[in-house]
This record gives sequence, structure tokens and C-alpha cells, in this order.
Amino acid sequence: MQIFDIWAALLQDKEAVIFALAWIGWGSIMLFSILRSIWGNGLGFLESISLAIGGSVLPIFLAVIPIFALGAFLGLHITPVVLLALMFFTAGAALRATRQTQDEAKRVPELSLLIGGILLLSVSLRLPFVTNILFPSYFDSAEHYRIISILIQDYENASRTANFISPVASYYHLGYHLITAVMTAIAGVNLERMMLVFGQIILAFAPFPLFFIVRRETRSDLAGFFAVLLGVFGWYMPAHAANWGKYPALLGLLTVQFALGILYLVNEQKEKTLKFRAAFVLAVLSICVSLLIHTRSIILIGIAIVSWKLVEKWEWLSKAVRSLFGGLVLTSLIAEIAYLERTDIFTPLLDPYLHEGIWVTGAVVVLSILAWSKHKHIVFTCLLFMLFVLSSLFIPVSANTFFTLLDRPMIEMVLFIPLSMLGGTGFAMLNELPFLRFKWLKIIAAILVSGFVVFHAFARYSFYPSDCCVLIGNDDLLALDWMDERLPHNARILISSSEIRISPSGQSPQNTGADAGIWIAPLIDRPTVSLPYPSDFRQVDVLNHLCEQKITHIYVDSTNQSFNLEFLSARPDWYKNLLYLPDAQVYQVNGCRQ
Amino acid sequence: MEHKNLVKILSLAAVLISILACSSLPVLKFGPSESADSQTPAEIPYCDENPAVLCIVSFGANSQNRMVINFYKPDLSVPDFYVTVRHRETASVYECRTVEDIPTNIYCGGERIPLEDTIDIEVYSINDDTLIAKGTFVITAYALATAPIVAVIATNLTTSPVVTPSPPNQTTTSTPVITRTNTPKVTSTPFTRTPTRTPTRTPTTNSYPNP
Repeated sequence: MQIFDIWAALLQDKEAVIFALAWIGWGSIMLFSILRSIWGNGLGFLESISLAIGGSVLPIFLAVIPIFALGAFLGLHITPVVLLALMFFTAGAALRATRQTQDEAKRVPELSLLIGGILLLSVSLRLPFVTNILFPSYFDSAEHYRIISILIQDYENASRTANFISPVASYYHLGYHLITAVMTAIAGVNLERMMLVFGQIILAFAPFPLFFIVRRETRSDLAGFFAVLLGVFGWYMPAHAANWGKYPALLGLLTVQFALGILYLVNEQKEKTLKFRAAFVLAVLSICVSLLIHTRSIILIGIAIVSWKLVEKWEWLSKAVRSLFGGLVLTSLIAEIAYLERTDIFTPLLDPYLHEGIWVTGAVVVLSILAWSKHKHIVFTCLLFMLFVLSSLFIPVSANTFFTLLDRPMIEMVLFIPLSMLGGTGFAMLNELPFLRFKWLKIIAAILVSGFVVFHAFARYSFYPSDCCVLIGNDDLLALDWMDERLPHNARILISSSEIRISPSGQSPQNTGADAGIWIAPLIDRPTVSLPYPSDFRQVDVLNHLCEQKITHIYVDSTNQSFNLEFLSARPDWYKNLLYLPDAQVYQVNGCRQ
Repeated sequence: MEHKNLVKILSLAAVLISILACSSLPVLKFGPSESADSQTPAEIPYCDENPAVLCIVSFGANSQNRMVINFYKPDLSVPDFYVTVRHRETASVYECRTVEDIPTNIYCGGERIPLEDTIDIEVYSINDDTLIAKGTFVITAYALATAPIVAVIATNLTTSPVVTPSPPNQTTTSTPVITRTNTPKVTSTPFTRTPTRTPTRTPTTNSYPNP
């Protein structure tokens, strides 16, 4: 990683960085204040902060809804200065109202500095990603961009036209889209830049809520921090999900972890006191917001609850039955992993953990074994959670078996959560190992394990966009702008598509854009029609199909799932090249009879 | 060791991470224009070589027999510009256009240059006709098989002798494969498609690839 790229990102996207950080910071402070006013000393300072970071999305979402409604329906638009001032004063008032003990007040400046430093470092590590990329990666991003663009239009155009356009026919991660739309519209930045920057900032904050449950279980701050360290550096997930444009799922990671933390607190309350009721309301709210941010979040929360409750029952069983059940779970998990590794379509699922990250996963396994003696509940819950999550790949939710409870990319993204918790819990046991008798030995062991995780990350992982998923380059931008200027608005453009392959059974009901052509509809507002990328344009069948579909132009670029140029250039009488750039071409279909 | 050493250990970890982050710190490489005399126009490189300054992404051509030069401008303080292309002692002015909403990307179009010719590209500010940057390139070419137009590649004489644009990496198939198509109009819902022909699985790789 080049240190200058952090500065480059700050200079290039300073408005987006400031506003994204301001929103997340404001949300965290508001929720921190709420948590402290409910639990007081019942929650530690660091526990409250970690939980508040996860729950920051709640106040943000609750603020975004009225802001959007005021803009879209009444034409009242909040200015950036007013928004920042409102954030400043409300956060300040919330902090002033926060209760603190005397002992805690002494440590607050020190701990705030520490947390601020770690967050700053985490954000700094993620920002270089945005310097080397023009638009968010992969095909998901184009759809997110299109939906958010429409919401921005709805928000901004109300005073002029009062025509509200529905961005989607059905629900599709509308929570993420609404938040990003309001953020972008108020900050006045380009949407693609806000999507990129906000995505990286979510990524920087996403591992912090891991601290909460591990700290709560082990009573060790260091164990909590080690879980966070694993979340940041342990594996190339969830960071790689930014290359897939999985921004709603990334934002969902925050709300899911918050919901789990609050449910943990609900579970701790033995009596139905005010705290119980408050925790219950927060839990319901967090589950609702999680659902709106990303639908499958609720499945993850459900699996976590079932796992936790099953382990509670398991603990009441006799030792023999416990051992039998425990062995059964472990054997099933190993068998499932072995099956996934042998199934072509699922091989990528465990790559971050079993191939690229095998050393870190190995360390986590060792730490889990250490943790087993004292923290059976959390260790077994994590194992059961992983077993159920992996099993959900095979549970269809519709007649088309392609749709399952959770899909491969989602599971690949979230497995870091149980693994980090296992690692953190085991880390706490370093303090209790009999052969680490001396304090300095314990410190050296802690530094060695943490240093290994960090060193492994810097040696193996890239903090920049992966070549796998960048669909749009500089030549594509030129070609799109050229098409926007030269082609009529009723031009129908053929773009390349490929099948979505994430499930071994069933078939995706839709193909998806496979090159920069996917950006034609959202960026230059021309209708597009897709055809699988291997299509042979020398065949008369293909030409006839294009004529039936009234295709006027074809877009080709240099990504490896775009159309084959040789096929097009083989029939100059049918396809006329209008624009040639090394990495983007536009053809006109001339072979159809008038 | 809990609270006493927490700050120390984490500070140490932060320093370690910072050192690692800086470990690949490049030798200070600001653009050549930083240290050069402000009156001397900067040299135009290919963006592959140095994307930190005004650079050329690629050369192309269109069906109106015009050459297209694709520029990238990371520094937005560089003023709007036009381009003069000199070859065989004649000079042509190329007008430039900024990609809508993307001020870093500019492209210029003008007279098609004969193949194998050396060209001098000069970039001038629209405001005061100041020479901002210049470079010398050789237009080499390859013809697409039976294609109606010839693709244009240029070589920057001032930097590296050969620059080959990455060729399209395609998967070829010998039989027509029309598996599924989308609905006629997808402007509003580009992900909605309905099958119209006999579905056949296309030979695709897994979606959502790992790095």
C-alpha cells in the first residue's frame, strides 16, 4: 500500500469522506448516548462504543427518512452546512447528557484517543481503494447506482415537478439506497464517488462491533480488540466484498452485529425491568432496520438466535449426550466443509479462510481449542452458527432451487464474524495458560499472535481494487459519453451478459451484465438488451435475433466476458464499427432489412 | 495486564501497522512538473506509465475517419484545453470534450493521422492559449481482420518505445449460442429478463470471483 494514496483519496474525495464520516460518527454518538442512558455502568465505555458503532445505522436511517420525505414531497432541502451544524449540536447535547462515573471519567480521554486512533487507522487503510477506480466494481454496483440515482432525482426534483418515481418494482435493499441517496444529495458529490467512499468507510467500521460480545463473554478488553483485529486483517473478507459492489450487505454487517449485541443484552436481563424493555425495543428496531438494509440480514440474525438457544439447551444435557451432540456438530461441519471444497461452484466460498487465510484460520482453530475449556457456550454457538449458515446454502426458498436461504457470496462475506469471535475468545485464554507464568511472557505471546495477523495481511492482501471485478475503464467512459452525444435516445444497445453461477442447482432466472455495457442504462439512459457473451455474431441466427429485438448498436469492451470482436469484425456488411478504442468499441447493426 | 498495558500494547500495534503501511512507501515521486520550471510544459506520458499527471489513456478512431485521443487529468486544476497535433509540418487543432460529470476524463477528436507517422501533441489552455503539456508519439497500427476501420495504436517516443494496448481477451465459441434474452426495454429494470429461446447453459465461470 502506498501511503500517498491515503492523501490522494482525501484530496480527491474530501467532501464524500467528510460527510460519510460525519454521518457514521453522528450515528455512533447518538446511539452511544442512548445506550449509556439506559444501561449506565452496566455497559463498559469500550463496550458501549463498539455496540454504538454497529448501531450507528439506526439513528442515520431514522434521520434520513424525514429528510428524504421533506425533500421529495415538500421540496424542503437541507443544506450541507445546516446538516453539519445540526449533527454537531445534537451529538454535543447527547454527549453532555451521557452519564459517567468518576472512575470512568478519568479514563475517557485516554480511551477516546485510543479508539479514535484505531478508527482513523482503519479508515486510512481502506481509503486507498478509491484512488485507483473510476466507478464501483461489478454488476451489482450498476443496479445500486441506478436505484440511488432515481431516489436522488425524487429528492431533488420535488419542488419542480412533484413527480415521484418508484426506483424499484419490488423491495431491493432500499434502506442502503435511501441512506446513500440522502448522503450524496446533501453533500453534492458524484454518486459513484460517494458509493465508493461510503463503502470503504463502512468496511473500516464493520469489524468494531465484534469487540462487544467477545468482551462481554471474556471480560477482557484485549480479547475484544483481538477479535476486531481479526475482523480487519484476518482474511480478505469482508473487504473483498467491496469488489462485488455488495454495499448493502456490508452495511448490513453493522446492523446485524448490533442486533446480536442487543439480543445478547436482552438475554442477560433476567427480569423484565426497564432495561429489558429498552433492550427489547432496540432489538426489534435493529432487526427491522437490518431487514431494510439487506433482506438476508434477518436470516443471519435468526440463525444466531437459534444457535444460541440450542447451546443453552445443550448445556443442560448430561455430559455423555453433550459430548455426542458436540461430536455430531463438529463432524457435520467438517463433512460440510469437505463437500463444499469438492463442489466446483462452492470452491470459492472457503477460499478466504482455507486457502489464502489458512494460517490465520489455523491460529483461530488453536485459540478455539484453548477457549473451549472456559467459554464453551460462545465457542459452540459459533460452531453451530457456521454449520447452519453453510447448511442454508442447500435450503431452497422458492420453487426454483437457485434461490436458497443464504447465497455463496453472502456466506463468504460473513464467516469472518464467528471466526473472529472464536479467535478473540481464545486470545483471552493466553492470560490463563499455565506455561505463560510471567506477565512479560503473556505480553510477548499477545504481541506475537497479533503481529502475525497484521503481518500476514500486509504480506498477502491487497488494499486496492481487484482486477477480477472492475468492469468500467477510461476507454469505456469515453465510449459511453460518445454514445450519449451521438446516438439517438431510441437507440437500443446490445450488451454482453453472463449467467449468475453461485448455486449448483436450479438456474438463475436472469443473466447479468458482464462488461461496462451494464452501465449504459444508468449512465446514459438508453435501453439495453443483453445476449450471452459467447454469442457468435457470424451466425445468421444471431443477426436475425438482433433484428427481431430491434437492436441498433452493440457495445463491446475488453473485459473477458464481453463479446468477441473477431466475430463482429468478420461481418462488416452486418456490423459497422462506429468507434474503436483499444478497450471499448461501438458497432452499428446494418444487416437488418428495413 | 488488562488496563495498564492495553494502551501501550495497542499503541505499539498501531505503530507496527503504520510502519507496515509505509513500508512500500514509494520514493517521492511527484509528477515531473513539480520540480520543473513552471514555464516548461510538462511531458505527456501514457497513463499506464504515470497516471499522476495529465496523460494519454489511448488513441482511437471513429467511423467519420476522425482520430480520437483519450486523456486522463487527475489534477482538476489543469484548465480546460484543446490539442494541436503536428505531423509532416502541418498542424491540426483537435477540439476536446469532458466526459459528462467526470471532469478527470477528456477526449479530443480531429483529423485522422496516416499510419506510421510521428506526431507531436501539444495541449493548450483554452483560457489563454498557454502550452500546458506536449509529447511525441508514433502512430503504428494493426487492422482488425476484415474490419471496416483500422485500429490506431500510438507509441510515445519520449517514454517507452512500444506500448501495446491489452488485446481483448475473449472466449470463443463455434456454435451460435442464444440462450436467453431480456425484455425489450430494460432502461428501468436492467436485471429483468424473460427467456425467449430454448435455454442453454453458457460456459461461464463462477460469478463473484475471488481476487
